[in-house]
Amino acid sequence: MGEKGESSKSAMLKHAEEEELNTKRLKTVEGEESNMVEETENIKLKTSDEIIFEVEPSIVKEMVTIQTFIEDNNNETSIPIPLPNVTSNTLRRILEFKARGFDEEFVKTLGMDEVFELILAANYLNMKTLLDILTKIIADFIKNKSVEFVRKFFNIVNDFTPEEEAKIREENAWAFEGFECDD
Amino acid sequence: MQILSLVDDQTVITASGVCRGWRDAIYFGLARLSLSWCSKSMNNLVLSLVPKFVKLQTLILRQDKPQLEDNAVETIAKCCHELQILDLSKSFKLTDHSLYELALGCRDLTKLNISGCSAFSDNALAYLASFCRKLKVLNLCGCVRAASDTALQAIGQYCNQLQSLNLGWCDNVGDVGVTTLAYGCPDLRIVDLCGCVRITDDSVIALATRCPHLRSLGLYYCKNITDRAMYSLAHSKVNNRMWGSVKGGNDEDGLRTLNISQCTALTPSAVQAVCDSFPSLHTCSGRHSLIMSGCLNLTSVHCACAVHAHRAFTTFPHPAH
Repeated sequence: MGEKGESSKSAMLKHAEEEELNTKRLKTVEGEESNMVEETENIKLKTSDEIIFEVEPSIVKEMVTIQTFIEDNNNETSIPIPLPNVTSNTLRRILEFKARGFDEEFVKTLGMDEVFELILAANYLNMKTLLDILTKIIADFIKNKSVEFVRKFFNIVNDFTPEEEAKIREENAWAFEGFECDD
Repeated sequence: MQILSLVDDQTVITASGVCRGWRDAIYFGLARLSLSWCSKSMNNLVLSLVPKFVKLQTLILRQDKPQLEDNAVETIAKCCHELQILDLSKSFKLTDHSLYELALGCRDLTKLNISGCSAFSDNALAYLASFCRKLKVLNLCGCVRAASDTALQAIGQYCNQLQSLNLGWCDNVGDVGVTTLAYGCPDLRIVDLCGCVRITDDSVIALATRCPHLRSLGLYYCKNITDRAMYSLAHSKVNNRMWGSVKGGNDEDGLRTLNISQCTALTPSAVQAVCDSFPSLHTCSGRHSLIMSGCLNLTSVHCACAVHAHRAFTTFPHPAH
């Protein structure tokens, strides 16, 4: 009897939830509710090293990739959303950065390895504001630097033949007349 | 490419020598390049770099001292077929050969700045106009030989999308050229005729009646301009409003900048009529858009800021009334 009561109770709950979801869908179609993610419930994000973060919807709004994922999954937010390309350290940094109101000075205190990690994560999560700030920091860092410096900085292997490299140096030399690269 | 879009052009050139991947990404991805910083060997740099940047849409080659020669422009024309914006200002060494090459190679040009290129002839400019029919912005300031009535007639005939034209100090320009231009380019918004001493009221009347979107008009030192031109401008507001109601115009339409400095034949009543017709024309401090320096008899002309503010306040009464 208890089991039967429980099952009918759960059926009623399920029906009520479906009704609520249909109402939400209807509201969205009619344009009364622009965002189906409820403002109150936090969203769980699962990093590549299996750590789960509970994040406020207002922060998730800036993560376009996650927003799209939620919308594509009928607004389901109870299950943790996997982030296979983001480590817990990086996500922690992003949340800290967001809490500071995208403070550029904070990013400048990070090591370049961390900045690269953040760029990859921001690119994956499609966080435009963060990506803009990070790319600007990298851009400022490589300005007026030599080819060798840029290669070393980005850990890039020189795949030009000696002949190709000599030709490129010769052709580009006009750009650096009376100009010294800062290594 | 996002990082490279934030660095200066010298760094982009450096980056193209980092590895093959970066080289290809830059050569086939770079859309904008400015070499204006190059103070010594711009010509050589154009010859060596431009053939690689095949997707360039904007190329800025402004110079302080003339460096560019025809062979550089020929290279641009042969390699950059997607070019839309080209700045060659102060290229005194360029000859007509450059314009002929551009006409054949860069037909998608929408903005061309050849100000100070004093060696170009009107025949070459007319030829360019007949091919580059998408031009929207053309700066011919100081192109005394090129900017003649003949050239303007060609521009009026072929460049019907033109929105901005700078003819500053082109003293061969006359009413025939400007009138043809006004008839052929109804979308003109900015026209600078400063120092075009030969033009008369006929030019201004043509622009006022045929160019309903005119926003800025420079008539500095055009001594032949009289009240007739001013009244035509003032009256054009009425005509253009009627025209706008059909075409979907708005109240923001109309002159926003008018330079009549040194136009000493004008009287206060005529200029005041223009000022009254266009609320965006200001004589008040910090918002000067009606420029009348050197016209001592026009000191009584004032914009209608106070009246306009009062009108705005009374137009929308409180809903309780």
